[in-house]
Amino acid sequence: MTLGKFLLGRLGLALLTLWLLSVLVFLASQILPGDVGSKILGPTADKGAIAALNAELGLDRPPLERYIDFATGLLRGDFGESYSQRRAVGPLLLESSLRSLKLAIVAFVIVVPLAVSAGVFAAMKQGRPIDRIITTIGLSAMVVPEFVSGIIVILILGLWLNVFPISATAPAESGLVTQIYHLILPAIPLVFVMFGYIQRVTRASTIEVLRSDYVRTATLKGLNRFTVIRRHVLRNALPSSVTVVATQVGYMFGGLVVIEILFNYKGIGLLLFRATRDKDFPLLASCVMVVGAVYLLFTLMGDLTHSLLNPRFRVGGKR
Amino acid sequence: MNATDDMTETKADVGGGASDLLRQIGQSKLAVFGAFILLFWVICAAFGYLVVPYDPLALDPLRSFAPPSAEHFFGTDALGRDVFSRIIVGSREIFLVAPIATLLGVVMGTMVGLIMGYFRGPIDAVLGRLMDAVISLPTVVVALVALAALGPSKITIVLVVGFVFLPYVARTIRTAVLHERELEYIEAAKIRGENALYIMTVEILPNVFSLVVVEATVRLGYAIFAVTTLSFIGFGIQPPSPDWGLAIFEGYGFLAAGFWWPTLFPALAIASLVVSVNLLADGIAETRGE
Repeated sequence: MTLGKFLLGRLGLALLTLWLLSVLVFLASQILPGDVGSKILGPTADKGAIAALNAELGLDRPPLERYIDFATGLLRGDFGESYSQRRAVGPLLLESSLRSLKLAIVAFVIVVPLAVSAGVFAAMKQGRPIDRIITTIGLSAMVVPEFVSGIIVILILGLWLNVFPISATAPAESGLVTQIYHLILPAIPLVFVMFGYIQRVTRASTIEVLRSDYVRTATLKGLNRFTVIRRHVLRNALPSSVTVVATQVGYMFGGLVVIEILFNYKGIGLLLFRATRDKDFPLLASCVMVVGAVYLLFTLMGDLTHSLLNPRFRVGGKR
Repeated sequence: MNATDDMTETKADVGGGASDLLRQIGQSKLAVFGAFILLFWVICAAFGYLVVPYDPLALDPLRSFAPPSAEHFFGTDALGRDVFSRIIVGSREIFLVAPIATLLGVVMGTMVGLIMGYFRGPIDAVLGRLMDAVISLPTVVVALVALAALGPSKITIVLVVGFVFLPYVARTIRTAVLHERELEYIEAAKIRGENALYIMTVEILPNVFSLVVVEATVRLGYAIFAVTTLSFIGFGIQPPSPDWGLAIFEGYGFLAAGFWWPTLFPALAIASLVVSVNLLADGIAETRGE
């Protein structure tokens, strides 16, 4: 199987998954709530007002027609209008996503080098106490909810030691450096959660490579340890880390929702939260589709990078 | 560890009962440590109401935000309620909701995994795509959609967490079943004329059961993660119930004013609980694996 065919297959599967997701999201946000008009106006609202609102929002039409509208809208990039904010969803989504992207980039720039080197280091010291310590810390950091570690870092680094500002949003007109400085505190809880996964996968793939014949050969022919790691170990162990980093991008959204609420940072997570609170179903559905699409996109990019970095994978050979 | 070792291990486990499992966990110090902390919180949840110094729901508006002292070990919150007493009993709802949600997800996931692995072909492909669609969304996002549609309640949370866990459990079980179904005992059962349901539940299930147990303990950790997170964003356990996530939700706005105790202590309680469950789960997974 050639690389092109493999990726086309993956792209096809991703598109199929995206379509299924759109059906699930439509069902959950449009059909499951039942009478949307009365959900928005409350149980005591006047029947006539509810019917009028439902008609205005186009909710009195048959479900299939509404789904087709929803799906074709998504394809055209027309995300409809938000009930609660009375403006087009598209631009709202775009500006929020850009803010979240900034936060996500800061988190990744911190976590990837840290977790990959911790993973390689733990693998080299496999079975020694330092390996146990790194792995246990990684495992524990992974399961502590973001808002819990968020509270702890706000208190210690933000309020008591006063190292970082506790507001995630930099004052208007600030330069890039100030903006990044404000995003470090909110990024730390995201780093904690992702560190464990990336570290563990890197450690496991590094151990596998360290046991291989070619690494033994490289060591026996007298290459120094650093060269062996750089030229032979990393090159073979990194593809698995790349794949796990790509899937983390999708999972990070869960953390983003929580962190953006905690820090009142107006990204897509906070938008999603407010859409839920205001029962703003069009906004909610679009946010969820964006989250799902970004996850699938990054999984696809993970597959692509993985196969480019690992030649055996792209010809379809078994490892 | 390769796939073949994995399976022989699974088989060997079938004979061992609960005492065997306990003995194996006992070999990992971290797992024992985790088990003790977990036990502590379970006892607190069950009997805490009998021993707490104050009524966890009692308001004392004159003593709001009293700092930690001999009288109130962890201080009081905005409404003058004793933080220590509320923490001791604050895990009750978590221990109710998280295990039920886990059980739901693991049972449904195991059933779907058995079906996917046993039948393979088109059934597997269709279910597999559905699982992928669900997996592409983080738990919190699925929960937000469901809560907007169904309204916040404990049942919604159980359903959401169970639903989100289903695909992860199903994928793990499916892989094991794919291997099992090629073995001779399945062939023998087929020749005997057993039907698919019998083969899946009576023949295959016992042989993948230790995997189900590992999946359940790992998932329990994530269920606690999810349940406390939903409480924190205000869609979980509702006031005035003493709950850790809810306490942080109510208190974090006062951090900058210097009132850290109503927020930090529940945060540490959550951290200790999730880490303890995780250490235990890791210990169980390790006794199976190595």
